[in-house]
Amino acid sequence: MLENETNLTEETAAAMRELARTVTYAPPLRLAPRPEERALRRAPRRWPLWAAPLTAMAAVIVLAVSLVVIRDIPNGRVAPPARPSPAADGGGPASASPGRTAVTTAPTVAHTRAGTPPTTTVPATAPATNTAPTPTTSITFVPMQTATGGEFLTPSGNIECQIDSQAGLAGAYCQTTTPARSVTMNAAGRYTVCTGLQCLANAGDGTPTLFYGTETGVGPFRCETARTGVTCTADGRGFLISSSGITPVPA
Amino acid sequence: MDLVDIDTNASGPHPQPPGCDTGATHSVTALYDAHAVPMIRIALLMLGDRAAAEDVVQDAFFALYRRWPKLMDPANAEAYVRSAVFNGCRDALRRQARRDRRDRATAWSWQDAGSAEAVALIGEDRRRILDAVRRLPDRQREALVCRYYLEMSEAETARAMNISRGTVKSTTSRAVAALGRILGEGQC
Repeated sequence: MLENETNLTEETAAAMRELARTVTYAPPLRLAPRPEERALRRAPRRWPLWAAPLTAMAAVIVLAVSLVVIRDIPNGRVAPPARPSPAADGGGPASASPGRTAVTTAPTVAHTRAGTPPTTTVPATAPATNTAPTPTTSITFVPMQTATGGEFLTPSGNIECQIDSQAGLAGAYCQTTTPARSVTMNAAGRYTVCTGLQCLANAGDGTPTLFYGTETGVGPFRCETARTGVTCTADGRGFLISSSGITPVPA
Repeated sequence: MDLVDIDTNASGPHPQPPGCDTGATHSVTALYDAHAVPMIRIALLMLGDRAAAEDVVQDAFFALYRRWPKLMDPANAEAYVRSAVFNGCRDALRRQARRDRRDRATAWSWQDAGSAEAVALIGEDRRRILDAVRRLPDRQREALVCRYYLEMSEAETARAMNISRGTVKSTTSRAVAALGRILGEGQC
């Protein structure tokens, strides 16, 4: 019986191999579903019932997060901030001579190019004419380095001045190394005085010397050198800077 | 486990469908070239129909192609395809059984299995055996194919059929006994 069963299994295996050997090739591979399989395929799967509320909840969360993020973004400036002018800083009478009329009474802190030391602003005298100073025949007018401004030193080297007439940057600046003191004036003739080493700035290399008795300037600014000091004006008023101090012009 | 009679067939170049992943296409095509004939042979033994066997194998490789990116270990691709072929054969047999019940057309012959010339070379005795195998229940036939054609061990057969080793043993034993009975019926 066992022998018969063994023979049967061997014969069965041999019959299977013989049948299998009738297959000697395979048709080309089709990497696409057969047409009947495509037909049997289900329709596209529908969204599950919970998908819609879940999607809506996710959308609300995204919207809320977006609003929070947008709210925290700082607003960008459309235009750069205006450069604070000495006049805008206000000021009160400080080193002004007696008889001057102050526009404002409280002293304020003004920015200078050497930092932010405490300064006082001196208003120009009023009323004043709006005519720009013109060089006189007895004084030699020397143009500045560029059409928008420049800088100069006095022959003693103790006074250094800079003038800039560019829009937004317009101003005249002068300093005395001894004593350490500087003055900044805007195009309206209002100026701010700063006292101390922190008010000083080094003159640039190659800064030209403006001899006594000469005048320079651009735009509304005019500066005249003399042995008594440098007088800078704008709009008919300004200051006289010398080693003895800074005084308003006209006195 | 080695597949018996593995041929590298000469079925020619395989056209690459447009828009398909080239890496998967090359890999699956190479696997098909190496294993298509043995797989068709398995399916033929299970189904007794050459065209149906080819369809089952095509579907199995197409399923492999679709699953290729998710296949954790491409080295198991052959086992995956063989499992898919067996599953496809079971599905095909179920469909065939439904058709048979509906049509009452149960007449079937191994002559349908392949080319007439090739099948004609099979001896009469072995053709009777194959007919008997064909009359076995699907699971018993599958067990015989695994154990005696693929020469799988009981453990390998158990994994392939997703049954226990004991069930493999009993199923195979019942299949052989049934074969003996069927073959004995024809002898007076």
